[in-house]
Amino acid sequence: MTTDRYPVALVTGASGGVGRGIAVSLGAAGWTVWVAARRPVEGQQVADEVTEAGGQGRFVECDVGDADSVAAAIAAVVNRDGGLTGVVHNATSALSPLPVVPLTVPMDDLRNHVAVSLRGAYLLARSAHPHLAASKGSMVLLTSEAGFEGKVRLAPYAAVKGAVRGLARAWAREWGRDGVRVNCIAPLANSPAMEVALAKDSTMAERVLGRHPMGYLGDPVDDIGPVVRFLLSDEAGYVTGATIMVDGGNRPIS
Amino acid sequence: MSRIPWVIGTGPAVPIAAGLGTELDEVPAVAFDAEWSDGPRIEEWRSRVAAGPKVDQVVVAVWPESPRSSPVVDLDLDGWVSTMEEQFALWFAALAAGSERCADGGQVVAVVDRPDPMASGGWSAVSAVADAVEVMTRSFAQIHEPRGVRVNLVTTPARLTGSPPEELVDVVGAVAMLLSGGGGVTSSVVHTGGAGR
Repeated sequence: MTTDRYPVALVTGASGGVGRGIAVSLGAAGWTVWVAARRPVEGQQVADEVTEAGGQGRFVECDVGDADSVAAAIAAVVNRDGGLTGVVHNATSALSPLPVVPLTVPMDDLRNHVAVSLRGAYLLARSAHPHLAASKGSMVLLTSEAGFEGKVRLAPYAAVKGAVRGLARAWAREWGRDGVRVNCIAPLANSPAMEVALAKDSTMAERVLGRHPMGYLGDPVDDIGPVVRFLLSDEAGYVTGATIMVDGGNRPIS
Repeated sequence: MSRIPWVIGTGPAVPIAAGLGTELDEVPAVAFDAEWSDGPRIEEWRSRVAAGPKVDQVVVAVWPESPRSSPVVDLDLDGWVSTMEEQFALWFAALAAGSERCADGGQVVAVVDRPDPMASGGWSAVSAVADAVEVMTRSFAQIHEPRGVRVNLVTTPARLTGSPPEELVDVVGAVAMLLSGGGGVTSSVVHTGGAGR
């Protein structure tokens, strides 16, 4: 990062769950954090948590699948804070934890998965790139263990999470000489979405935790957020195009 | 049941079908907009195809016409939708239908364009589709494993690097190897295109 006015990060889907954990963790390190989400009440609550943690929390309403909404959110950040040093794309479809049969999944539902995870990443990349280049900043995309191994009941979710890794790998190469880094994390965390998935599938808890080396799901603030903070920081200045598993060793791949 | 592979895909995959000694069963030509207005056509095709007679060997190759590289900052939304989202949707539907049509104990092989990771700059949409198809392959391998169906993937950079069509012979060879069913291989990826991959 090259400016003394930042760091300023925008985190999508940060009105709860893992996104909230990332936002609060960044706040604890003094970052200005824009909570970008569709739910203003919950989003503002997280922004307040960021401020209480020691940062500057701000909320901006954002539908990541909508080009105008994404452009407006990025513009709001830059206009208010003078630049942007980090973008974290955490948002995923509300359908993510719901089991489906691939042969009958409606295309509208598949589109929803793609719009939030992939079109959202694309729109953020396009809008944020000039500002990240100016700040020598960084982008972090959230993938998942599912994006490596596939899922029997969550095939659309797994597929979009796999695609995210392809985007990060390519963008890291496209933007490296601009001084912009792009990485992924694959978290395994306790979150509302995980709770829904566990509730919908009685065998999932045993599958997820039965062979887990550490035996518990990560905490979004204490376990997941600090890794994103590292990737956004200068300490990770030579890390790009990588996916870091933040899963307590559950899936030993990289 | 027939041992001649059933090959489903888009027009550019005709050489794959020909190399395997059969014809291509084409997925519907679509032109996605941002709202995926052609989605219902894919749903109808998926249902109709999945209900057909079982086959022992299925090959899926959804290949876009003339793939071109473009840095993401130069890729407009229409380009993004056609090179990434449309391909994603077609792949998902074709693999779902193809896996369903595969007989118990049969083989499914997908063949996808994939840039060399070290040359993936400018190919983010294609890279994303390739990584998505890899994960779809793993999902469908797990879904159909109880029926003894094996699902694997072959990747090729040939069309992205402008390699001559003769290079597809290697791709056909990899597909044929996986269709043979030897070794109980499933949920695996075979990268063609040279040792540097």
